[in-house]
Amino acid sequence: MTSATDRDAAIVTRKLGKRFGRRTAVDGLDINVPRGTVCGFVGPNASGKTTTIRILLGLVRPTAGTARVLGSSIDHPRAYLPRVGALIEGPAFYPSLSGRKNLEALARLGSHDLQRAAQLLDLVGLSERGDDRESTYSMGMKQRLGIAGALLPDPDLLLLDEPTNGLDPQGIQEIRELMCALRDQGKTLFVSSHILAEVEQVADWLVILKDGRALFCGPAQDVSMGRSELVAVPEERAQLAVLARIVQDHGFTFGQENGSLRVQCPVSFAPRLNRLAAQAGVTLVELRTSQASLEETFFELIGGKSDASLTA
Amino acid sequence: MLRSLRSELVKFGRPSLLLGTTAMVGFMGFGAYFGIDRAVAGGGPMGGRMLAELRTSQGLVALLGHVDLVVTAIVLITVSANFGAEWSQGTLRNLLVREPRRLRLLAGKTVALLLYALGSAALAIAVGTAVAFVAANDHGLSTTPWTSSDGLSDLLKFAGNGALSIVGYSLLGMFVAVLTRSAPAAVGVSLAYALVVEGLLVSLVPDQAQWLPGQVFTALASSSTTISYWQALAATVAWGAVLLAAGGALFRFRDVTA
Repeated sequence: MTSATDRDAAIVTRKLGKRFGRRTAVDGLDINVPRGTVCGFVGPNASGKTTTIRILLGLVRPTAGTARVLGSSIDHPRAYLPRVGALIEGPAFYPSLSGRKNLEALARLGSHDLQRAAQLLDLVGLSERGDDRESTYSMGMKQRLGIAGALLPDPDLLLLDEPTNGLDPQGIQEIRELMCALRDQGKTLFVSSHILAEVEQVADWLVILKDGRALFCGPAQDVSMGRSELVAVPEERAQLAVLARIVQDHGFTFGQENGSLRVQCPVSFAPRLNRLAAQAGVTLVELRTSQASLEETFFELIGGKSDASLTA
Repeated sequence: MLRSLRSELVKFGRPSLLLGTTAMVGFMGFGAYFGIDRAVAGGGPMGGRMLAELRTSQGLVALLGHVDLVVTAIVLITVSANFGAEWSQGTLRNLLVREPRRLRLLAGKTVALLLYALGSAALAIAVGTAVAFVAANDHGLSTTPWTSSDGLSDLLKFAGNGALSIVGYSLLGMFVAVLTRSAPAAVGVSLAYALVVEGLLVSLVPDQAQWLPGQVFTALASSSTTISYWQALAATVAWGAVLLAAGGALFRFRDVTA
């Protein structure tokens, strides 16, 4: 796995573990998350994502291993939590208080400027409903309020668990843009989500979890490395053999499907294949690249099912 | 701790707390008026005894004391529900991210709810007293003994001991909520313990059970004859310390999965 140095990391875990009785929720987790990135934290249900986040926030004690958040050990949450914002397992507020009062209660507890409550309500599009009871909010509005609550301390690190849950497409886009804007301000976002397509759009860094362990931790673009392919369609079917020989000479594997050649290789091989094919008298009517999606890679890594396959 | 206290004060406007205060005031006022009305109207040895008591300097205190149990139960319900709701609603995780020093968070919340309970009880006593005077005048009952130096002294003792008793019951509610981590469970267990379990134990092993927390809190407030005032006071302080320490330890070291 690719790793950033501990000094540069927003989050580092070393052999982190948590058992609840006989059940192991987190099992020797080793991850590094660099500062200033949007890190997608994905995994199947019960893979340990929420437990890991709770450990990092000091809500749950680990039974093994260590971790550091923003350079400070999780044994001393007071050292880093003032610079951390979190939305864990959905928004949780006092239903009979207004959105504004809910934020005010949190702001007073954290000694944050009370003006931020009004600013954040505006940022998340709740300023007109800020004085209404939280119990009257829709699920999407509650989610927005949760994000506002996480942003109260103007944090260096944001841990967001399913931040787009309950939002309409416009809301999802707004949150995505907000996350990118926060990243551009130098903040680190640690986003746990089941919606892989959303993670794929925003994440610079990726952690894939299964059974409490990290299957992958590194730049998001690397997760699909080696899982790209070229699809070459010659003008005549008989020319497939010529193409196949060219590909084989370069050490790549391939498959044939419906008059096309599917080559497992880096996308950078495309122009070379085009030139070599032309030199060999093969006219390509189609040459396209296909990179495995995060969803396809995810299912391949966790050993589950996917609608799309990587190879023919 | 002050941050936690200030944060809790923002939540004082919630309907559940206002309802609790209203209920305390309502029951005390109703009990005061109804008690005088029944005592003056009515017959039999009970009515005669009550009326005789009302004519003494301790009459007002005796009248208010009859409603004390209800007010105490409301305090226990409100405090335990308020604490337990932090787990039931999931708001505790937000609070702990903003204030990871758990004992300070618990202390601030406990002080806030004590202020609420004592303030509401004081208001209830004030209203009950006012209603008692009105009812007494309506029914031609003299209130002179109540305003004598003995009467006022008795009232102050009643209020003071009642306050200590309320502190004890509030800490019991806090402990049960921290133990059960659920608002419904906290309310149910608190009431069941205070109203049923201790009552059963008193009937089975009275000499030992009289030292249970609910028994000593009630003994302090109602001038028990089974244990002395000073014994009740010492036991109340001791139980308060135990409940605080036990609740604090549980809160400090337990995982928060809500």
